[in-house]
Amino acid sequence: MSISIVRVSKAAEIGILLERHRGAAKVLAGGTDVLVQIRNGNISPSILLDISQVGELRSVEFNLNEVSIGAGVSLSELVESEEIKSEFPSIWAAAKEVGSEQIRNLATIGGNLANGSPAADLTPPLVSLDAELSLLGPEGSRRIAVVDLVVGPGQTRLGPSEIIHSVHIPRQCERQGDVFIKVGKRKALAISVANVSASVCLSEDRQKFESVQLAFGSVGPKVVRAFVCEEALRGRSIDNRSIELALKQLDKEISPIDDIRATARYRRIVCKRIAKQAVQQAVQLVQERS
Amino acid sequence: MFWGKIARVGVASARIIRIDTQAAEALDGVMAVVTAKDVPGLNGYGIILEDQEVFSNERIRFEGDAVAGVVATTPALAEEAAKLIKIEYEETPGVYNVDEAIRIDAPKVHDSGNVLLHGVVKHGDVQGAFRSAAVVVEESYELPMQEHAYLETEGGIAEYKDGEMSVFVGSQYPWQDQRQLCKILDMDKEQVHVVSDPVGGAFGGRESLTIQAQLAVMALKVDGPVKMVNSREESIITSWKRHPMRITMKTAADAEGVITANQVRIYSDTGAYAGLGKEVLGYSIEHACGAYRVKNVDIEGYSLYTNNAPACAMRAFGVAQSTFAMESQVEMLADKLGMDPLQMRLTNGLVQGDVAPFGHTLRYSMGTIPTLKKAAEVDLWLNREKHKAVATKPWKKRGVGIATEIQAIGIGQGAPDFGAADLVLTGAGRLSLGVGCPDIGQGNNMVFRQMAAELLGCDLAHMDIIQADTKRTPDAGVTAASRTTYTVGNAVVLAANTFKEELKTFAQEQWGQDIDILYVADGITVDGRVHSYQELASLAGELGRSVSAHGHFDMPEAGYDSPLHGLPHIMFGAATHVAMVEVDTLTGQVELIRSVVIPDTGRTINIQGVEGQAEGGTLMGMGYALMESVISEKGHILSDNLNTYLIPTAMDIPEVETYPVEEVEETGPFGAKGIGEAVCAAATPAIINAIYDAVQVRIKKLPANPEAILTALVEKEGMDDEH
Repeated sequence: MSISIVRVSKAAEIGILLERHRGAAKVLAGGTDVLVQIRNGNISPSILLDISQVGELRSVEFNLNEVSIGAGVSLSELVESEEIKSEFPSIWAAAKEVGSEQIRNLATIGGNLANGSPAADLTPPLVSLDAELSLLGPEGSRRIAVVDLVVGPGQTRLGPSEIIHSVHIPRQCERQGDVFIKVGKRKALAISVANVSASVCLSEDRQKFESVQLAFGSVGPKVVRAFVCEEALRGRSIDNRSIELALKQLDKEISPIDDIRATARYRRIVCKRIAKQAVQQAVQLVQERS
Repeated sequence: MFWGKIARVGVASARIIRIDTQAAEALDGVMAVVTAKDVPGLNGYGIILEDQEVFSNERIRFEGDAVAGVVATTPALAEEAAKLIKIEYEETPGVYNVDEAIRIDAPKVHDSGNVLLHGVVKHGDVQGAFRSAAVVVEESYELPMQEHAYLETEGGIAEYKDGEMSVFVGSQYPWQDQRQLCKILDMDKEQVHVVSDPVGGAFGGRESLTIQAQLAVMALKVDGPVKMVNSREESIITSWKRHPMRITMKTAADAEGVITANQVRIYSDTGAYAGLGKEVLGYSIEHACGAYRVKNVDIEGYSLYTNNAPACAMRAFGVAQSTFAMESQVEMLADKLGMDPLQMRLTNGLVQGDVAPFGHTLRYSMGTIPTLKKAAEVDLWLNREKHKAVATKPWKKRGVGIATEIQAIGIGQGAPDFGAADLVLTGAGRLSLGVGCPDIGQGNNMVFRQMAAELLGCDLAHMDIIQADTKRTPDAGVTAASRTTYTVGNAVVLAANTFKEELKTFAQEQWGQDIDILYVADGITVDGRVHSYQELASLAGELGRSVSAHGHFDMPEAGYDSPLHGLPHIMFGAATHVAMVEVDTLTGQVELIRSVVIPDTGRTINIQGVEGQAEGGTLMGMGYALMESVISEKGHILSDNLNTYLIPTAMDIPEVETYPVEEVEETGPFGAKGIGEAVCAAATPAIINAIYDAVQVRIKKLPANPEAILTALVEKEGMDDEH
């Protein structure tokens, strides 16, 4: 019945401790998902490894090719970062839309991903930006794409003794722009009914789409990329007509269901609409940047 | 301290075969397990009809029915033991909506059948009025099940000691709890002590018993106090709800916009138990024509048992439902006539001396017209076209809507309805005001203290209040029905005036008959010399004399020969709401941008209290309009926590502007009337009317959530998915 809380100080120790207490230990970062799952009886760990004080999981580094965000960085810290806001507005917007101020103060970017929810707000922007993850386990670290992390609701490719160490996002050039839009049923503490993140790269003359990446949340067992729509936009001019035409294919790429929050039908209609909006706004963003 | 926990079957309709408590009883730390056989008296309760068992003996009528109670040394042990109780049962066919419940061959929720009440009120000739009408609107409305969602879940402590049961559980009426507990425990009034202070919100949800009965039966079995606090899930599954209803209305008006007839059919789902299901339907019928004079009415309603969570009282008791329907009808009539919607309301609004649609004459002040006139002057209404023009995005549309309502004050004809108050100078020289009706967060304690202090001319700081204790305070009736400011306030006024006389008599005893007395901030002056309350109290103490007064006030009645028990009401509060929304036509999301509330307070006693009520009422009405709905499947509630049962958050709160008007009620304390409910019901149709104004879609089934709005928009514009 009782739970021991072990505070970890070094990242390298986490995997070892998870290995030693296989099946009994669970990582506690912000606790905004784990504690709810314990209360609801979904999980019953006897040990919680408190990693909230591990310094190296809490850094944000702007390197030449990528920005590395420690898995333990809180969503509030992302929201407060001017650099994140200006270079990755989709990440910033998604972080801002999670839960409430109190939840964002505790919740971490790593936790949002590792929880494996198809409605996780941070996943679509990171997927659309081609972000990668450093995973750390007792045998060392490895890198995987964010899009490959989640297998299905609550299920990830994390090994039993592995944690997310950090998130790496490729630096954006001035021809790129990214936008996140969420549909919730109220203005705070709302789980996404549907969300979309669009990351566009325009041609040198800013008249055509060089590439577009679209990721949707809450419309399938995991976040999905709309590859067919993306392909249909490649090389097209940036007008509304090409966007509308491309999004005609969207129905085949998402697989929403009816649930307590909304019907599949609503999700299909709204996804198309917010996707169009997101692409348009991303284009506008690039135009403003130039 | 011991801890209690309730065991349930978890299905909505079943027959219990066997209850095995052995494993639970064997668990270390378990003090007692109780079932129906441990109820010493009547295994039943209910304010009017005692149709709900304390512990189910044989039948399960809804998911929240208690089957057994566990008392253990810790909450965790109590929970573990509750899981060990094995309940063998057989599921039985149930009814889960009004259509299923009303069928002749429907499974019966109670042996008496599924119709709790069939109520009819008819006057005049509606068919004739329809034939000669300039416009007729006929529509059907669906109202969801709403949760009170008070901050404090049901919880409290009970202890049986020296032959006396003490129950400390937040409720709206300790004496009503006491009356029911006496029957259940087979005890006299003197043996059952109920305290309801403090209360963490109620909104009608604590008018009937919540956990008191089960808790008291558990406490009987052990030597020591037992505490129980519902989790939010337990609260949502077991607590009383707002009645889901389907209302159809056919309403006619002549070319001048005078409403000539209203034909109304109401189907109300009262859930598994009566609660106040008859009374709520009665209010819906009485308020079916809203705030308007209508000569020809044909109103008929059914309150039906189902296997859903039982519904009972909730702020704007049956009025929220009727008001939504009628305020939608009026809007459509005005639209068809090309008439200004505010003018339409002014044309038809009830005034003092009118005959109400129910048939009785309205003898007391009516605030509809003054609140509407005030609405015409407020910036949001006056400059609505300007405010609507500044939507934040091209695909977002703004609209401004208006709605008005009246709300009965008091319990109603034939029902006991009185206020009472004691005012005592204590040994310590404090003024102690005792009232039996709890302050449930709305601030009536402050209002009572202000009234008494005002009459005594003393500093508010001298005035204490004790409340809601069957031993220490007088029974002042229930905190409900927007009644305490008026009814209990009048008793406070009587007590304070008598107290002044008592104080004068006491002073005359001390200083002679011819003295000159003034009532001042800290006490009295006698011929210019100050005698503080402390001094007076010491003096009284030395003489073994007390200085105190009691006030009692009886609510007036309509004195009308009514076909329905408890009806009609004779006094009404009124409020008009103006709301501005912004509708996102891409997603269907609606934002309430600004909201104006104009309540008729009679006389404002405490402006912060009025604003608090107006803001809270607006939010509750906004939740009802836009997001709130208890979602269930065959009686099993799916939205059993506040992450799925959505209420507005701080982020959804608009700017709420409150402009009270004072249509003085001559019989009221300082001219005041109650506003607790009046500020709630019209918020909903004001928002729905604003949505129509913004995007020309009329939502008739609540909540108007993004999906409902988008579906209506797609239907209206014939848009396919290619928008």
